[in-house]
Amino acid sequence: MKVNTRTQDELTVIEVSGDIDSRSAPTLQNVLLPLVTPDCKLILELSKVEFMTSAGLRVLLSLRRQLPQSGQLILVGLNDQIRDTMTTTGFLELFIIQPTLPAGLAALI
Amino acid sequence: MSDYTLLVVDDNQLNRDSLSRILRRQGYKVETAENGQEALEQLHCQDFDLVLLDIMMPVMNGYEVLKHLKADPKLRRIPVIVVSANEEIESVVQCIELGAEDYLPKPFNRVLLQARITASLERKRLYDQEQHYLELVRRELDTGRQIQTDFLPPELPQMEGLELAACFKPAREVAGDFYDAFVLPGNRVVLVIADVCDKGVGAALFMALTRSLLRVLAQQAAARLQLLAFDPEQHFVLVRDKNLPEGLLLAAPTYEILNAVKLTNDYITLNHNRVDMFATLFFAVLELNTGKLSYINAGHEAPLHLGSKALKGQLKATGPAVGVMQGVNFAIRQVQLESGDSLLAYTDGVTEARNQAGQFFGEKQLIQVTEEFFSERNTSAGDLIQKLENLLKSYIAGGDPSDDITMLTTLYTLPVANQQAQGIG
Repeated sequence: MKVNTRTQDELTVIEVSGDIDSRSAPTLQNVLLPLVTPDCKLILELSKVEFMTSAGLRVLLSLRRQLPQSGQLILVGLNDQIRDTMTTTGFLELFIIQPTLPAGLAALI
Repeated sequence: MSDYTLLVVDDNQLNRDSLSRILRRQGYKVETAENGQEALEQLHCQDFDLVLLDIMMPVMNGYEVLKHLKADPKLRRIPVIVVSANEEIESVVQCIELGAEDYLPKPFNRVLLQARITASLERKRLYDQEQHYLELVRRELDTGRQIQTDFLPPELPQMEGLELAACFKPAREVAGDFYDAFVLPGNRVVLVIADVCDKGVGAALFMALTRSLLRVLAQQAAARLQLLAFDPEQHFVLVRDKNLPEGLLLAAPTYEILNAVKLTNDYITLNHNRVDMFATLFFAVLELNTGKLSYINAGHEAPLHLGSKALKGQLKATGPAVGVMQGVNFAIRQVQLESGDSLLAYTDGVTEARNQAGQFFGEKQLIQVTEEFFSERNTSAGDLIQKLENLLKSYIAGGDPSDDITMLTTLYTLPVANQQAQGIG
């Protein structure tokens, strides 16, 4: 798994590629959690993630719970496997989802 | 004075004495041996931290000593420094190939001697420390695994009209999966399968918590209903939600038992939300008298409802995973099991088992295999589990399962008395 972050002012785009499993999830968590600030705007780009286990969902849950009211988080580029897992487990309802990065950027307030 | 004990092996007394003297002055405890044979005898009855070994000796030479040491699991980790004259460089190479740690040229240079001994002893100390820690971790995990096994039912309930079988294969020493089955009043059986997010010790602790809460809350609910002055079986609850506007009528005890899932979710989200853990789980109450299976699927892989010929349905999620959202009302659904129907509940370690090409076993293949199994007139829950277990084993072909593999099958046959009453017997 590789994580690439690009920050411009309050906006950070986090691009993940590879599998998110119990081995790689802690690395992702270490990158993501420090990005949570009162007015953060985070876009998590997952189109290059093929497979995500529940360890990845756990990282998303941590991120969601630490996100303050004033912060924004949008997930983009979910493949069918990730979308299915998030639908079954009820995670889809917790997040704002957009199909692509441009759509995600447009959805930011 | 150091605590290290060194063994000096040399047939030349002059060499032995001078080397021993230097080493004792540097603070080491020193024992000596005149040849290889004597050295091995001493190594077998006393602990040494390092051996300084001459090559050319009568009775048994240095090569033989090295061969013996390296072949002995108890002695192979003791570092050996070969002591030799500079012109014997060929023999030194041979000793290094046989497993010697380092070599020292004769005549001895004190600085070099000290440096090589210190380096070898430090390497051994670090190795020993690592082994010690590994052993501690192994022992702790072993204890964890033993205690965790205690959180699974020692044996599955056996009742008329019901055959249960389970398979539990943790990917690591401790697992996040579990299954459970227990009998409650009113000829009811509770069936549970669950998968805690992530892996390792954290998942195992969360598994123990979830399993215990579900079990105790379900048992308490059933026990308290027994204390009422009226017959709880004669009372019903109408469950309604937006996808089931006409509602579902449940016997009061069944409803109360299913409520264990909501109470468990509330407890976990209130008291354990800081760890951000959750469990997907399927929790069902099977009324053996009627074949009615009422269930909550909290974000879990849909169990398969199989008839004797084909798949009848999949019991899809009725709410989010347990531990994710506070105060959730989990929708309840019900299916009617006919005599000969079965239920296969599993965790994603089954469908996400990967072969060497990296492809998943998949839900489609799982359905196909189970349909085939029943169409071949097989009628045993145990045989189905066995077949799937073997199939998965050959599917991952020698590779390690990356996730826990857990399955629970239930085969229902209507009690004979009921069959007669319904005119089928």
